[in-house]
Amino acid sequence: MGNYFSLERFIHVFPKVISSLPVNLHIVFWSMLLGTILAVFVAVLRLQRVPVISGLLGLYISFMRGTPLLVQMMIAFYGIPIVLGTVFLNLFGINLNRLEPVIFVEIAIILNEGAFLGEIFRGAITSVPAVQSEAGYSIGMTGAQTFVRIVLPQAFKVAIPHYGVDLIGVFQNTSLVFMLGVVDLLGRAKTIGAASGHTIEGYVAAALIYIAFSLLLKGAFLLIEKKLSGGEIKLV
Amino acid sequence: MIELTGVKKSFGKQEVLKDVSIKVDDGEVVVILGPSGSGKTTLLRSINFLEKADSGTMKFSDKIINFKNPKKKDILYMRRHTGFVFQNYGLFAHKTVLQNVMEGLVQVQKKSKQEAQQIAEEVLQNVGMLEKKDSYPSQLSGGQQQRVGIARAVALKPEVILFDEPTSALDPELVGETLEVIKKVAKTGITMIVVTHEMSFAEDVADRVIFMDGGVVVEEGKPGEIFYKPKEERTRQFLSRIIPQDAYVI
Repeated sequence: MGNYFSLERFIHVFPKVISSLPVNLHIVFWSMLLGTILAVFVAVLRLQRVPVISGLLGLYISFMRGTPLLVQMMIAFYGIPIVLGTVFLNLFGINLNRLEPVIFVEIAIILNEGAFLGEIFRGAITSVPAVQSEAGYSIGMTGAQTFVRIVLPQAFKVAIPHYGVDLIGVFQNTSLVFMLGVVDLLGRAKTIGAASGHTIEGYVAAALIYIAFSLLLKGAFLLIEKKLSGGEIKLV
Repeated sequence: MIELTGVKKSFGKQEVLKDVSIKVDDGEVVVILGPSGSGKTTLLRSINFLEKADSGTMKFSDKIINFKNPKKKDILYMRRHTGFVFQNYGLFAHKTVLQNVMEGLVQVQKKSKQEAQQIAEEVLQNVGMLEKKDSYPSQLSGGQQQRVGIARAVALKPEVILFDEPTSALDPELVGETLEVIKKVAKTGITMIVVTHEMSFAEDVADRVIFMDGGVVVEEGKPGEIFYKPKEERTRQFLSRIIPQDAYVI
């Protein structure tokens, strides 16, 4: 390795790289929060099987799952200002071209998560046996009561592990944002590399931070799963 | 009293109920017999609107409900005045035994938690499941789960309890304990409609037996009449297959 990797330089750049972690976390937080809300609507609407809406949602999900996230980010970044630019300028006085690129990145991830999480939620809800709802109806509960009190808690338990995997995926996908000029972990590592002429230390630092944080998230979800299953997990 | 008139139901092209009419008086225990596919379970489920019948009417208390377009209010009314015991128990998997029984008392009948718990414990005592009140369904045997299922229905004090093959998913060993509990419920004078294959149970408990086949009522009468002097050839055929002939010899 010799000149290519120096521990000294690594120790020097590590704090600089990790100082950009909040950028990634900000993206993860807002994308997951709003993406989850969107996904609940997507899942519930898909389950209602309303003729036209159902078809449109199917198309939306196919698009989100059938194109790379990076492409979706590019389209959001360059496309939204073109399509909605004049509307926003006239109605709200907002110049979309001046907005932080990170906002478009977040819009892309939110829409992407609406599709992926939506399908996770839909699968979790349909995995609850029909007799569970029937039992709720049979004791005189309304449809809403049955859904909220009987179906959702059981679906939640099914969805949690998948949600955890998805969340880690989103965290790692935030590395794509530097392609749009957002200076996140990876973006910082790259700029340091360009300025100093030593690239590898910064990337190794970024990789370590990604691994550490992913493991942290994984551990947290294992804990939640364990807590939720407390004593019983087997669904009839 | 519950009276069904002209109930029809098709699944696609398959006509499962072809103009079925039955009447059950207050306090009566009626057993519905019949081969699989005879429509007996579908009939039972349509009473509670777990299955939507295509046409026909239902008279219950002073209400007349049209199956073709029942009002939401009427569906809820039926469900709140009848209990249902499922073939595969249908206990809420994420709730304990006690919570299963309390759920309807608290959420539907709006009783206080304290009162609901008192009622639930009393009913669980009656079915011999009080010691297991903090267990989850997955920790119980089939027979125990079904006893809780019965307790959950009974606790709500419905006017009618509908039993959908309550013992057919059970190990033979566990059938007895479950039937004992159902007999105990029958003795309280509650109206019951039971779909079952348990002949000796029907003979002991039923006031009337209805034999269904191919989506119609073939014959009905007192258990003694149906079992030993059936009028219809189809009933005789069915019974001869279910009741082994040697059973009479012993």
